[in-house]
Amino acid sequence: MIAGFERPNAGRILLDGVDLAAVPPYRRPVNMMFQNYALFPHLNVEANIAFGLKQEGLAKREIDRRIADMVALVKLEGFGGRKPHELSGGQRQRVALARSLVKRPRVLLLDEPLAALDKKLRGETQFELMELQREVGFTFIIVTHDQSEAMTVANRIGVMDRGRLIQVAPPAEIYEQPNSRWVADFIGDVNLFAGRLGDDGLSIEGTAAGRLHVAVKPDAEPGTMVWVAVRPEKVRISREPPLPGLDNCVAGTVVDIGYLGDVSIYKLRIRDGSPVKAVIANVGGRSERVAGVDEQVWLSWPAEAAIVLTR
Amino acid sequence: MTMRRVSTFNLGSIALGIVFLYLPIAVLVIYSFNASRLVSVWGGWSTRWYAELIQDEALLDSVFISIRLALTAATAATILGTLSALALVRFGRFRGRLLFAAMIYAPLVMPEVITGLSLLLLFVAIAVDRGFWTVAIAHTTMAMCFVTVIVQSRLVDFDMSLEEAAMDLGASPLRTFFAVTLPLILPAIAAAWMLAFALSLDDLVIASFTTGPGATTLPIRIYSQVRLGVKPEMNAVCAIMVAVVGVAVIGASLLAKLSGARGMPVR
Amino acid sequence: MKWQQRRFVLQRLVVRIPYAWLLVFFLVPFLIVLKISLSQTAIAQPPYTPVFELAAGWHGLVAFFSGLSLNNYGLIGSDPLYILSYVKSVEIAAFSTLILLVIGYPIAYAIARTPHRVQAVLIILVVLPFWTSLLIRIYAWMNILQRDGLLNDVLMALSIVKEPPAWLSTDTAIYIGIVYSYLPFMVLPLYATLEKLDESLIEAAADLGCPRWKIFWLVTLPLSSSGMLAGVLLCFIPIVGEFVIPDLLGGSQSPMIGQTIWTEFFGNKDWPAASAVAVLLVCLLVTPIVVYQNQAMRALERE
Repeated sequence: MIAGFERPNAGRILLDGVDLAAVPPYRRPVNMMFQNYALFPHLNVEANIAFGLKQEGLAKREIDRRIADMVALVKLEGFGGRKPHELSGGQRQRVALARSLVKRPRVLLLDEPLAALDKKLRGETQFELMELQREVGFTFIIVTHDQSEAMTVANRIGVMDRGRLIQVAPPAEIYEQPNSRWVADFIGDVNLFAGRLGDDGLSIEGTAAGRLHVAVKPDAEPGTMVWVAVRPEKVRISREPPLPGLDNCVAGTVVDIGYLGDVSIYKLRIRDGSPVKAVIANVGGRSERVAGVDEQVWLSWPAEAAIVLTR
Repeated sequence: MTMRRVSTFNLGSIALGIVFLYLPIAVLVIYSFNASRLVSVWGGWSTRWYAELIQDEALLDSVFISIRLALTAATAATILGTLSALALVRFGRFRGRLLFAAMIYAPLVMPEVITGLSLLLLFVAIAVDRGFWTVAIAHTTMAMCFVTVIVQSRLVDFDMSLEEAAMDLGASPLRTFFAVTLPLILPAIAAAWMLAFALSLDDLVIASFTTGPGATTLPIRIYSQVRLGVKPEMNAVCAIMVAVVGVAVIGASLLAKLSGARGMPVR
Repeated sequence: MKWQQRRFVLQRLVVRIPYAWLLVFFLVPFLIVLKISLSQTAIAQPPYTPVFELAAGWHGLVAFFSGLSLNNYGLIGSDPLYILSYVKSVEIAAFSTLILLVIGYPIAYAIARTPHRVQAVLIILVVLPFWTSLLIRIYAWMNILQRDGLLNDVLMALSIVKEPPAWLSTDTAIYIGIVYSYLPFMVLPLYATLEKLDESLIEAAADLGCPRWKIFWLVTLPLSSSGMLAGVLLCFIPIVGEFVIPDLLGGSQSPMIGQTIWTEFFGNKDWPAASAVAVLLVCLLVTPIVVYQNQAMRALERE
C-alpha cells in the first residue's frame, strides 16, 4: 500500500502530511527493494540502476555520476557491465538495493531483503544495511519474518498480527515491555503466570507459582485477571532454596535440557504441572552444570524481572 | 541435474517417430532430382525440373502473392493476437471476457472449411470484391488465435514483480510496457509471427474460399496441379519450400538459443 | 484515483480492438452462414434468395423472413449421402485420434525423459515438418503411395506382396495422411504436460513399492490427463472437417464432410445447402469445442 500497488480500503497514508492515495506508484517519493530483487534480466547492472534515473529525465552526466557513487557505495565496482544472471545472490541483492537507493526516495521499502542470503552473509549484510541507512539518512521500512534481524537492525519495530499493528516501539521496549501476551509470546520466549491482581497493585495472587511480586504497578483494578510475564533468561535455577525475601520463588523438576553451546535451555515443571522455561548461559566449562534431568530444583527471579500484562 | 537414463523403448519411439515424419519429405527431395518423369523409374540426377520451374510465370507469380499475403497477415495477426493475449492475461474479469475467450479459442479447432465458408459469405453479403485483401483478412483472423495462445503462455510465466519494480522506479504503465514487458516477451512474439507466417503461406482451404481473381496463392496453384496426379515439377517446388523453411526454422532457433540465455528471467 | 481510471480506459481500448475484429470477422460470419442455410438457391449473384435489402424497408424485412425455410435441413436429413458423410467423418476422426494418441504418447514421453538439452532439439525436429506446407507433405505421400510408388517398390522387393496393391483412394491412405499431419498436434500438448511432471512424484511412488508399469498407470497417466485431453481435442475436432487429406489421398465413393461442403459449394454451386451442412457440422462439434474452450480457460486460470 505504501508503494502504491494495493489500494487501502480505509484510512490514509500520509508522507510529510501528503495523502499518498491520489499519487500513482510511479510518482511517489517511495522506492521498493523487492524480495526476489526483480532485476531486469535484459539490462546490465548499470542500466538497471540507471532505470529509475532515466524516468526522472536527468542529464546523462548526472546519471553517470550517481551510478558511480552508488556502485561504490554497495561495493560492486567493476560489475557494471554484467547482466543479472551473471551475478551471485548477494551481488544481485546489492544491485537491487543500489537501484532503489539511487533515486534518493523519502522512504525506502525493503521486502525481506536478507531472506535469500545464507546465515553468515546475512549477519554481515545486516550491519551494512544499518550503516547505509545512517549514511543516506532516509527512512527504511523493512518487512521481515526474522525476529533477530528485526531486533538487530531496527530503531523501531512494528509487530503485526493478521494485518493489525499490535505494538510499535524500539526493540528493547518490545522485548522488556510487551503490551500484550501475544507480543510477549511472539517475540522470543516467555513464561506466563495467570492470577488476580492484589490490593497493593504489586502482588499477584493465585498463580501456578504461588504469590508473585512485581516492581511496577500495572494499569489495572485490583482483583482483575492479569498475567505475569517472565523471560526465560531471567529465571535462576538453584539446588538450594533461595533466601526468603521479595524474590519470586517456586519449586520444580527439570524435565529436559537443550544444550546450544553458548546457553542451555532448561524445561521444567512446577508443582501443579505447568511448564516453565529457563535459559542459563554456560559460563563454566563442560563439567559444571546447574542441575540434571529429573532433579528437584528451585526457580526464582527478582521482582524487577517480571512485568504484568493486562491483555 | 541427474542424468536421465533413456530406455531403448524410448529411444526406439523417438527414432521411429522421426523417420516416419521425415521419410516422405526425403523421398520428395530425392525425386525432385529425378531426370525421369515417372516416379517409378530412376533416370539419374538432373535439375531439369528446377529449370522448368523458373520459367513457369504463373507459379512464380503465385509465390510472390503468397509471400506478400503471409507478410501482411502475419504482422496484422501478431498485433491483434498480442493485444488479445494481454487482455486475457492481465485485465482480469472484464465484461464480455467469456465471449472473447470463446471467440479466441474456437478458430484453433474449427475446421477450415467452416471458417472459409463463413468469411466468404460475409464478404458476399457486404458486397466486397474478393481478392488479396479478403484473403489477408481471413488469414489474419485465423492466425491471430495462434498468436494469442503463444504470447499468452509467455505472459502467464512473466514475473509481475518486474513491472512493479519499473513502476516503483518511476515508469508510467505505458513506459513500463515498452521498456520492460515488451523486450522480455519479444521472443514469444517473434515465434508467433513466424507461426502466423507459416500458417498463411501454407493455407489452402480458407484461401480458396476467400480469394478472387488475381490473387491465386501458391497452395491454390499447387493443389490445382496436384489433384490431377503427381507432377515432377511439383517435387521441385516442394523441395525448395522445404529447404527454405528448414533454413528459416533452424536459423530462428539458433537465434533464439543465442539470445535466450540473456532474455529469460533468472530462476 | 484518477490515475487508476486512466489506466482502465487504456485497458478498455486494448481489449476493444481485437474484440471488434473477432465480432465482425468471426461471429457475424457464423450468423450469416445460419441465415444462408435457411435460404434457397437462385441463379443470381449472389446465388441465393432471399437477399436482405435495407432499402426495401419493413416490407423487405417481412418478405425476407418469409423467404426463409428449413428446406435445406430437410434435404440433408432425408438424403443418406449426407448422413453417411457425417458418420464417416466422425468415425475417421475418432479412429485416427486414437491412433495418434497411441503413437504420440510414447514419443512425447520419450522426449520428456531425455536430457534437457536434447529435448529442445527433438522438439524442433518433431515440429519442423509442421512448418513445411501440409499440401507438400500430403503430396509427398501421394508419391509414395502410388501404385508404382516407393511403398510398393519396398513391399515387392521384400516379397511381402505379389502384386502392387492400390493404396491411394483408400481409407487407409486417409488414415496414414491424417496421422502423419496431426502428429505434432498430439505430441506437443502431451510433451508440454509430461515435461512439467514432477520427477519426485515418480520417485515417491517407487519408494512406496510400485513397479514401473504401475507407476505409469497410477501416477504418470492420470497426471498427464490434461495434456491428453488437449491433444485429443486439438486433433479430433479439425480432423472431422478435414478436406485436403481425404481429397488428395482418399477415394470419391464416400467423402468426408469437408469434401461434401466443398463439392456443394464449388461443384454444385448450392450455397444454401453447403451452409446447412456447415451449420449441422458446427452443431455436431459444439460439445467438443466447448469442452476444449473450458479446458483452455481452466489452464489459463490455473497458471
